[in-house]
Amino acid sequence: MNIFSLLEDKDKSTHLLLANEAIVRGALEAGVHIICSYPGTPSSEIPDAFYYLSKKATDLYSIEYCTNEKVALEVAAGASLAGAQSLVTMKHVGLNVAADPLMTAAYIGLPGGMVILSADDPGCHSSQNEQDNRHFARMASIPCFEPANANEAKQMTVEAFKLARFIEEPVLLRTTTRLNHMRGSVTFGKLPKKQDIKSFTINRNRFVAVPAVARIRHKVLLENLKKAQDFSEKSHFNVISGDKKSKFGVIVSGVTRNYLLDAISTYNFNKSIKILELGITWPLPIKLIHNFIKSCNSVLILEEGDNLLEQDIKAIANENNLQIKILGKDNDLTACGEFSTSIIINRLARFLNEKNITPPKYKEETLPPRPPVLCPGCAHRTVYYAAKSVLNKKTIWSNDIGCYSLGAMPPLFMSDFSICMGSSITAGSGFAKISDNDVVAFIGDSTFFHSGLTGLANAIFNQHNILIVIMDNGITAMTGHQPNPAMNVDHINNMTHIDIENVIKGFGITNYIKVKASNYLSLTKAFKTMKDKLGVRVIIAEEPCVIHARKYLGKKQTHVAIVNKQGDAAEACMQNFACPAFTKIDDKISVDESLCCGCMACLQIAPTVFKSKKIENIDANTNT
Amino acid sequence: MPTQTLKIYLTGVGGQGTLTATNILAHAFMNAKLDVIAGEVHGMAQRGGVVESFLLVGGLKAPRIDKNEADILLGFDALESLRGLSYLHKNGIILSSTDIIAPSYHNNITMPNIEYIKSKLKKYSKNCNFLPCRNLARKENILKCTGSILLGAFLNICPLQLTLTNLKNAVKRLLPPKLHEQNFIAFNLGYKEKNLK
Repeated sequence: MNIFSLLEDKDKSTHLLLANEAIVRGALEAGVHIICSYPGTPSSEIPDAFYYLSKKATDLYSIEYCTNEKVALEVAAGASLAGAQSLVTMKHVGLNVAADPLMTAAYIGLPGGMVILSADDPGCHSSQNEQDNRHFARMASIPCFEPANANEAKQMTVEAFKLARFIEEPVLLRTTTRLNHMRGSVTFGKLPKKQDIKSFTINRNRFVAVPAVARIRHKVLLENLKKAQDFSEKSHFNVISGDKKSKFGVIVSGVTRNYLLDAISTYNFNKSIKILELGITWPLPIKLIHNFIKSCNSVLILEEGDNLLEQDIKAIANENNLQIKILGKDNDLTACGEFSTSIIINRLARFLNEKNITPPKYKEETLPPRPPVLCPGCAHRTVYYAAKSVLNKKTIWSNDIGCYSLGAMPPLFMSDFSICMGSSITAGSGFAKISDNDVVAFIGDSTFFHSGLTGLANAIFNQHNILIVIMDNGITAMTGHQPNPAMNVDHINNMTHIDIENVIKGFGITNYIKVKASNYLSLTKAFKTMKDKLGVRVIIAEEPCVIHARKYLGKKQTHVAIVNKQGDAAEACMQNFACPAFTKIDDKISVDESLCCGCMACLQIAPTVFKSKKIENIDANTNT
Repeated sequence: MPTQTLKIYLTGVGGQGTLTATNILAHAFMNAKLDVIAGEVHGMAQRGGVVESFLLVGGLKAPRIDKNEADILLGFDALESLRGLSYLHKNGIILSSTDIIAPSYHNNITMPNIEYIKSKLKKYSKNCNFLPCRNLARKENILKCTGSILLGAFLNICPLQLTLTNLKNAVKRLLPPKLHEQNFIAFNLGYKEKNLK
């Protein structure tokens, strides 16, 4: 889409936007001053859109890709103390990292106003867990908005900024994957003239979180939450609909609202229900909820994730001595995974004691899977292959999060455990301390700056025995090629490069080697040199991401690999190296020239099998 | 529901432009003054993974389609059309390319050929339509717009009123000018192809 249309000052125009794009528009309409982000699916389109737009919107706001989410929230908190409206974006696990500054920022309050976008991932579409970040709003005592469609995402972003400035507390805008990547109609509002920066007033009895201050500020926080509660009680984002006289009440939040509305509009239930859709899920509009449930005989709570609304609404019923059956999670609607329209239809049928619908069973065909794999030409594959061929078979692979995580896939299987960002070094250190096996940690450049530095310092300080391989492809690739300090900045003037080798030297590590990750021989030599040494050893395997190099660094491909000799060696390369460009047609192995990136790793690994061929017409090469 | 609703399940391989096609089609429906939302799963495209998306037309709110719910299966890769079959309700409409991109990692599962795939799809639904998109694209030298050929053909099987102009205006809004002409040629190719067996 033409992303610049997000900057159009056309009040009341309608656009078909991703909810993530709608959030960008909402922040612009609110007059956001600064955006601080760490990329993470499904939130990454937000900072990327701001970054792309900044080419035309130079004076409107500043955007920075921070080294991790804690850093992002802290930078934004400082900006908000200085009076700016700040937006912090991350995926759900990122809020774990940012939780430290969040809790105390809520105590001291942020006069400029901060909105935190946490993009949760029920069903783990691309995450290591499906944690429910509504818990954080409760724990931090801050408001929580949950949009259900693209237009609401925009409207709630605008309102969230207003509320954040009014109560001077961070506000959580909590989304889930189905919403972030949903495209729907959004009506634009006006773009403001620049929103003012609230100038900073010195108040050391508020902003310096020492114990004496904290005790007082906690009480202020709870009072601000009460102000937010008044807002929640009156908010048009909490909507009652359906048959007001019905004794069957349904309370619902998040994308589940859509499944419920489709369920009742497409399926003929005999009984009618009344519905409370909650758009503000913390603080709960207690009076509104009480009034809604008191005339019901039974109430069904529909929420993905944990049973938070269910517990709170049961408490409301209890406090008011209401004799109502309140239902929520059961064997079919658990804390795991996502809901869907048919799941909700079935649940409603049971709630209303109507006939259950059994969908027809279809026997799934067993087809060749298409799991995501490392791209053709990706040097990570060469690094893993070199490690695997040199190091002993009992070596334990401690892996991490990024494109190189795909090394876990067959046939490489180069990951024995992986927990969270940075844990390759730290969990690897702990494992090595107890086990007799050698441990090798793989960590990417972005992950290294995110949370590898502290683990590396610990490994040195506490004298751990671990070989760390830094997979430096100079970009945060998996989430869509966002910048990080390891990136080549020749064509960028507002970011400064940090050389990883300098960092390693700065840590005082002497057992390190830097090699080109595309050079198989150098890699095998490096692994051979490091494998029998003790202590902290580092191999920096550096090679720009093949996609990033082609798109942005102007690297042109001049050759492709071709199969020179069929037979066992070719078969072994296909099975064990498994570049996606290898293909087998009628028992003949060949290289698909439209996929081959010319990295020539296969030539180095199996020189008897492959040779290179010059591309005839370089400019006509249709590599995507 | 007062207006007719339509649930379209789109599937293909990363890099084929399935999500761009979804966006173009969504805008085309919007141009036709129809209420539309889309559900897209962004992320695994470049790594050769499956890319699924959903188009919901006529006032539906849920941005996803469950098994057995889709009215139309629009497949940009034949293997993915077969894999996604359970999303289509029996005798829903199938419009699939006959092109297959072979998955990169071959394990012990047999790779089905196009004849097998076609027979399975025809067994599931009587309303099956196929198009050799790559061959058609190659003839006009518009390989980058292979997906748009399928969109042109879609106009002929869509139960709702959608025109070539709706599609073209969507492209004008979404893509840079240098890509317009190729996409219009692609739409025409698909639209004019009457043999969809």
